[in-house]
Amino acid sequence: MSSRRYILWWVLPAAILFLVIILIPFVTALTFSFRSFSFTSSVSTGQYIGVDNYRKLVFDNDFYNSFRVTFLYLVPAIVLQGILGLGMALLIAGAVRRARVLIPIMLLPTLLTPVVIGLIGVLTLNPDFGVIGQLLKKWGLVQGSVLGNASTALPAIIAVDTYQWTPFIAVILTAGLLALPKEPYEAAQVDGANPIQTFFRVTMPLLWPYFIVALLIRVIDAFRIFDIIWVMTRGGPGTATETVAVYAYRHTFRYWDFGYGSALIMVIFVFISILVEYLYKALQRWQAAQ
Amino acid sequence: MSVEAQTFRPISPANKASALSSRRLLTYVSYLLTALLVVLFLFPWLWVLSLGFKTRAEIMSPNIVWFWTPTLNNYIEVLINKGYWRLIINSLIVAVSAVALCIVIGVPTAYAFSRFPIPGKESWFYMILTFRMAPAVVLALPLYVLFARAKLLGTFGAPILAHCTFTLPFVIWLMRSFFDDIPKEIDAAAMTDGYSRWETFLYAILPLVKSGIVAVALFSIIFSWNEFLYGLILTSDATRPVASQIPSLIRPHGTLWGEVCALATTASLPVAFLIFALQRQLVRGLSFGAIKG
Repeated sequence: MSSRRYILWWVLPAAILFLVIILIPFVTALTFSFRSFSFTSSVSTGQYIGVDNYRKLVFDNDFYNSFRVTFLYLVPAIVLQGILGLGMALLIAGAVRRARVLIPIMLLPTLLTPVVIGLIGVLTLNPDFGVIGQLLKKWGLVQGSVLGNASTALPAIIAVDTYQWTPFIAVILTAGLLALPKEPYEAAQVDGANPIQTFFRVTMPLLWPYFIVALLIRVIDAFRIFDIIWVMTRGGPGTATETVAVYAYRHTFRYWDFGYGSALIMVIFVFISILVEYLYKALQRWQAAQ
Repeated sequence: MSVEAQTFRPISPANKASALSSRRLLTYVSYLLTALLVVLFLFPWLWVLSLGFKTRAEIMSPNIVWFWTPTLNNYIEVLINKGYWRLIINSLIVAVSAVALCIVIGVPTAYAFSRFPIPGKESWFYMILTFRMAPAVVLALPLYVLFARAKLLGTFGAPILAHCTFTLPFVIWLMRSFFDDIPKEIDAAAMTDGYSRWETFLYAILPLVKSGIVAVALFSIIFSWNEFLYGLILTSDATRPVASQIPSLIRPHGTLWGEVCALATTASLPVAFLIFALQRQLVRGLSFGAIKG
């Protein structure tokens, strides 16, 4: 009945589409990464150059900078969003159970078009007429433009990212809080634990798997972030906000260097696949537990 | 189940009376804080929305104008006079086509992954998730080259197929979790009644996951509607979706902010509407089906 040939018919259309739009393009990019393309030279028209693109990458300071920027953005963003998201979740789940109707409203920044979120960042931070930019200027916190200054551009992007993603973390943790089992709390009460002890010894460990899923999704997102940065700073000023995805875009679609761009893409992809393996295991454990 | 009691405990019988009133106070405080939070998260969006209804002088005023007579001039200018209503139609064509294609192709596959002993099932699933989570720039370059060769650049085929690169994995991944929720005994019962596997899938199982399919489709439409990079590089002016066009309207000098905001507002209203339509499935969709919120 469920012979292999029979199963094939169920998955064949999806397999063909997957092959044509994902696997073949991916392998194409892989072969590009061993070739030389340049639209400014008539010599480089796609000949095989071995691992030269990867060798170039090892000595490319801007490449390392893009990873540095990605982590400089990622770490504060996640810590901030984790803390704020937990606070919001406790508020929603703890006291206002009817607040679940508010969840869609709060998720608006998370699901709104990222380009529009970037636009919100640009406009609110505008030093001349933006609601926040004006205040920052008046209080003397920022000289001139927030986004035009290398030391404030990345914090501004972290702030906008926090605006966008804190509700996501809050909503996932709220789901976690609402699904907590009762028994450990009864045990803690019998043991005479105070609320703070209960929170750190009982709530946090039970909530931890939810944290892991939310944080892993956000870490992987840090390698994807592109639209918001493109709208707000285009990676500038200089390379102050140039994350890995922005850097790869610059080499592929600005410099049209398909060979080197593909090598960058492959390195990013290896990073992503390692991170996804952790996410995959976390999700698997989860589904097994339910 | 009382979550209140879990979070704000313990309440011993001795001070129950005062605990009750302080608890009521806490409830009011948290109502207030939650209301504040909602305002905080809505405010920046609403403020940008408001700029679309202001004149240039009102937008650029160094003293923020809080009370004004709303004007529709920006909307008329950008959507009708400049013809950008086309961009909204383009977004709609791309999102609906990509999602319809991926639902029709992906749902039977998700069922197969849920029910059949597919060789290397978990490796396939890991691969699907990896490509779902990879940045768009990874596939954008090779897709650009391949679509150029296939003469698809500038047609709707290019962004539609490109959007399938993230829609198809999402549909398969999330639909499998919906199928996994349905006991296998239902399949067995239907097949005992003489249904074939395909009939079982069509007539016994699909009706049970109807709301799941709707949720997955609406979510996919949001992601497709929001997509920026593929829509920018694989399209021409005639086929470009609205999200991909907005950044090019922001210039170093002389940006027509009112019109940009009017267009951005028009582009974000369908998403806001879909979020409300999704309500109960939001958490599940955002967590890849891991959390059945």
